[in-house]
Amino acid sequence: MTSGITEPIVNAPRSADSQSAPTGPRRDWMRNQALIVWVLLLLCLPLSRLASESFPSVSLVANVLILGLFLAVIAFGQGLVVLTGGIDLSVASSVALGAYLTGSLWAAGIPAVVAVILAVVACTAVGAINGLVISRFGFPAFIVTLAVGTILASVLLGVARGAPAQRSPEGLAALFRQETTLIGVPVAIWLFLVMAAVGLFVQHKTTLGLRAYALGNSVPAARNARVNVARVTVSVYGVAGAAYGLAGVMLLGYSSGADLNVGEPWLLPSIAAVVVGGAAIRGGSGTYSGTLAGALLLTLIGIDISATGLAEGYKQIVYGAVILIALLGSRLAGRRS
Amino acid sequence: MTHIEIRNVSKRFGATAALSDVSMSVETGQIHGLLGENGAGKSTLMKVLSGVVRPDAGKVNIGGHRLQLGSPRASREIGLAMAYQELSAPPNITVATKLCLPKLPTHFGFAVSQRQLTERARARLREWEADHLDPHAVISALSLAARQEVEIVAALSSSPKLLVLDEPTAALSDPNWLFRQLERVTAAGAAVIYITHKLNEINAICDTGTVLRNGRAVAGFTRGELSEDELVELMIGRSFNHAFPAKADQSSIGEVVLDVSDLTAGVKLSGVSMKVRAGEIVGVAGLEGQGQRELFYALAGELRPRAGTVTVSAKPGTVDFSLVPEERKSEALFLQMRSDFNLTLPLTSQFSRASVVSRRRERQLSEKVASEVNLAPKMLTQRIADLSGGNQQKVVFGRAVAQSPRCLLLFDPTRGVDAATKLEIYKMTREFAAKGHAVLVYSTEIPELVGLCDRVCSLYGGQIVAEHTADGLIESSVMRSVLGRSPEVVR
Amino acid sequence: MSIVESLTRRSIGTNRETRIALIVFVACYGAVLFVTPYERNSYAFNNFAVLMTPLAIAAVGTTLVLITGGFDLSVAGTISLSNVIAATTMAKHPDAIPLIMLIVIALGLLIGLVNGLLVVRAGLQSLAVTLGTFIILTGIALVVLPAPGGEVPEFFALALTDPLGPVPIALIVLLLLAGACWAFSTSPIGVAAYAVGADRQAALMSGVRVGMVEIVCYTLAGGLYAAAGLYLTAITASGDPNAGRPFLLTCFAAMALGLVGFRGGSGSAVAAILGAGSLVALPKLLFAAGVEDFWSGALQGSVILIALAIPVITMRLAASRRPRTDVQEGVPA
Repeated sequence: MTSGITEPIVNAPRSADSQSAPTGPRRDWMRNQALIVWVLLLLCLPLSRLASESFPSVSLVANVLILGLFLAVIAFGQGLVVLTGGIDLSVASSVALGAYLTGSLWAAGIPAVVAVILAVVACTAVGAINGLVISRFGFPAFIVTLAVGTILASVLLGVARGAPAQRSPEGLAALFRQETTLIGVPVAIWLFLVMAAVGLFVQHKTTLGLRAYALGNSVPAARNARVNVARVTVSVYGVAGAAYGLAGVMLLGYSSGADLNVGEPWLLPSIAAVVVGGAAIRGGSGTYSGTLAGALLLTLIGIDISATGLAEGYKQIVYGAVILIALLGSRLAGRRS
Repeated sequence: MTHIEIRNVSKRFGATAALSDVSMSVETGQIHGLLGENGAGKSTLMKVLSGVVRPDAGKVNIGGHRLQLGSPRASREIGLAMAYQELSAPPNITVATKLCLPKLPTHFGFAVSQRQLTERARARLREWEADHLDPHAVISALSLAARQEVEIVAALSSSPKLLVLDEPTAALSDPNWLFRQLERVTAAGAAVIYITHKLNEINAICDTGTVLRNGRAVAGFTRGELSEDELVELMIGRSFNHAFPAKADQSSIGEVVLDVSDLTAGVKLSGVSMKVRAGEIVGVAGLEGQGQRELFYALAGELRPRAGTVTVSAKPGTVDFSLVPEERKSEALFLQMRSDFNLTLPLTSQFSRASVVSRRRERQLSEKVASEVNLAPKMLTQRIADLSGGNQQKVVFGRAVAQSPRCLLLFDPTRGVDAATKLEIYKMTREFAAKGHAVLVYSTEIPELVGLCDRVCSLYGGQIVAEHTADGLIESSVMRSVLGRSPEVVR
Repeated sequence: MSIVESLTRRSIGTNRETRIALIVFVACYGAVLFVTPYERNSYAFNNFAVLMTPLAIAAVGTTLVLITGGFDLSVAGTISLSNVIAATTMAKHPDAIPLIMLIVIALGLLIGLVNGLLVVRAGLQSLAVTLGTFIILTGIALVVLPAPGGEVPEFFALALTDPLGPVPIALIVLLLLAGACWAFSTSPIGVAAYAVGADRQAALMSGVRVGMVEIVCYTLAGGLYAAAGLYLTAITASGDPNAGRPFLLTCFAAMALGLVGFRGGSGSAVAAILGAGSLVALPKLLFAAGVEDFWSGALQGSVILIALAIPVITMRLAASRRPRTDVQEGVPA
């Protein structure tokens, strides 16, 4: 895996091909994985009682949705990239770029809305660069995004120097306050629902999404089916970049400010959410519904563990164990990874 | 005395029964032919024997010992050696390494001894009359013929009790070399299962044989017992001659659609010129590596030509070319997706507006294309990997035709396809041509070209060396010209 | 054939990657020496060797796995865990330090074995699995030592980091490591690992015990990560539950600079060691040139991209210079 250009499936899958595709109701195992995770999510809600006496509660659900918003946005981008058979390691610095640009442009006097747009555009450009290098030169996505991410982080450091923390535009911060509601529901939750709708739409109802699935299955076959591989690759990474940037903007508002480390905690969870949601790292399969479920599940578990007052270490152990269990679960369910 | 016994082997892949209750026996020192069309189950049986695939039912005895199925190691240890059709050498190792795997000679069990490795490899190459091969060459640098030779020598060198060869002469430049080695190995007491669909080879070297059709063993025979026609009938389930649709008569052939002039591409194509007219099916015949792949892929736009021009008339059609490629599994199919996805992906403009996909119109389109290639609607929602080879090929074909190309390019379109589907594909090809399109077909099967095409051009050394039409379009003539042994146009 | 030929000719492919990695390293380190007069003494050289050793050891581990076609993210977790275990136990039991080291390495081997079993027997994707084990290991490290602290007896730190006469112990370690890499690549298991990475199915059909080879590679890698963690502990003389985190990216960066093929089946672990050296040399270069520390990431990232481009450029140059006569069948898809 992890070339941005997927190799055709000539290598034997881990299971010898005596384990054939299951027939009957297990046939659409892809959707099953997402379903399983949604079910798990719903099961874990009442289980939250173990974490805290006051759980489960409306405020717990609200918190999961609000906190899960950021992961939902970032994992959407990562999910699209993984769908094409690649992986995006530039997440952390792109998120930081989104937050930093918004904050610093606004501080320089540019209207908040314009600053946000410019920030997202800049992150889209970074993503497009990833896509360009990957498709033009055929370098593996892993390394290209790693290199670009490292360069970007370094450039941000160099440019910011000494004044790393940005303050958030007032309007943006207001959006994320609990009190700001629309029909009694916090705006942040509305944003989550919008993101869910947009993500599902882009991945499953646009030609870009279709072509991303094609690329992840087989690049030669995509060419044969008249897919412009280079253009789709650039678009996918570009859209992903936009998502990371947008998440950075949101985080800036949510925390009423952000420093350049704002993106650090999100790279690994973004991969985890995508994988738990049933997407194959190799590409070509998975749904955004699954990614959403994975993001929410991981967020819920994170909140639960924090509520128990357990040390950070145990939180990580459980987090990692959930990932492994989800992987093993999907393997057992579909006899395929 | 029966040496090898295969009893009641069955294997399903998804919805397809690749093998159903197959049984056969092979004696020591004999060559047993396994005959069948592409997709009949021959390769699957071989994978069962080699342990790469575990069957759902059945047992295998070698020399009285029961073979543990599903374990490549067990198969090896019991004395089975394989020469696979897909060529089982990792591309990054040397010939010497491949020949000596899995037990590489070492210095004190520690580091691989290159000296011993090379000596051992050379000895093996010499033993089997293949010492023109360089032990130090890396597999990926070898020609297909050389790789096949390496594959065969590796199998021969393991002193097997049972040697299984899957289409071993597909790429060989000198099949007689193989036949000589097989004589020697059987004289030494080995049994051989020789998998092929080439009748002349069966008659030449096989003592006994089994015919597979659609996963079943439909007949056993001894040498000379059955005529070629009888064998063919057993293989395809009906007489061959009536298989092809009627050719185009001169009046239904129209204007020139495709005009190729002096096309040079890749390393192997050196200046090819041809014209294909509306309503015409033109065949390209040639041995491995004569430039046919370069020709088709250059026309399809996947390979940039170095010289020459290609002109396509303005109509009929929406796109200039559409290609059904050589290996559907790696070049055409999206294996994790459903069949309807595979059918309609290139046609997004027909079911989307401003990049937004209409699921309803997508479904309608897939149903329409499926009906045009006789695919059952229930297959649309199945994963394409679960479909049989024939149905998969129909999906690729249907998708190519649905794009309404002015010229349809078919590269070995019936490879790995069962006989019934082959006939469907011939029919659909002819129907497509009759609508006023041009069709260019390459096939490794000369009888297929002769039966299907209005004209056949023979490619040799990257150039067209002969053209066969009308009365000149007979197998023997085409066979001669692809071997480079015949001049000009043959009428 | 002569002994030399017998030793240097490989069962697989060419030595091109190692040569290019050597050039890259010489360029980077050479530039450092050129620009900085005070790097040109044995004390500075020892420092450099010491600094690059943990990364070199870890990069060899990730290379072993990558050769078989897998991605091992658990490197960071194992290093952190080794570091905190050493930092919390060595000071209290200074006599048992060799035993502690053995236990830590055994633990690393065990972790690698678990990874290998999950990948091979359970058939899970390596990137996803090792992501999970990485997070779990980080968690365990946090439980052992929730915040940076702990200490290590001085003699342990010095034993690994001081020079032995004129020769840095670190250099000896690196040379031994390189020797082990070479031994691995010429061993039957090494050859098998390359074959598996290039084409798993073909290797299986050729009689290679694919599963066992992969498990061995993951296991050895785990042991190497633990060793890298121990060496890191000698350098920092303290514990940090996130000590391994930077290694996640730097290991893969080192492999990229060592031109290890990211698709599997090619590349050399020795080249990865050189890549680690290049990666460590670059910030020094910046420092020497008076450029602020901020820009070191940009330089590293750019050098990685350049290193990736080198084989592409050389291949294009070679292709345009001579006609391809012995090329294989097939058209680029």
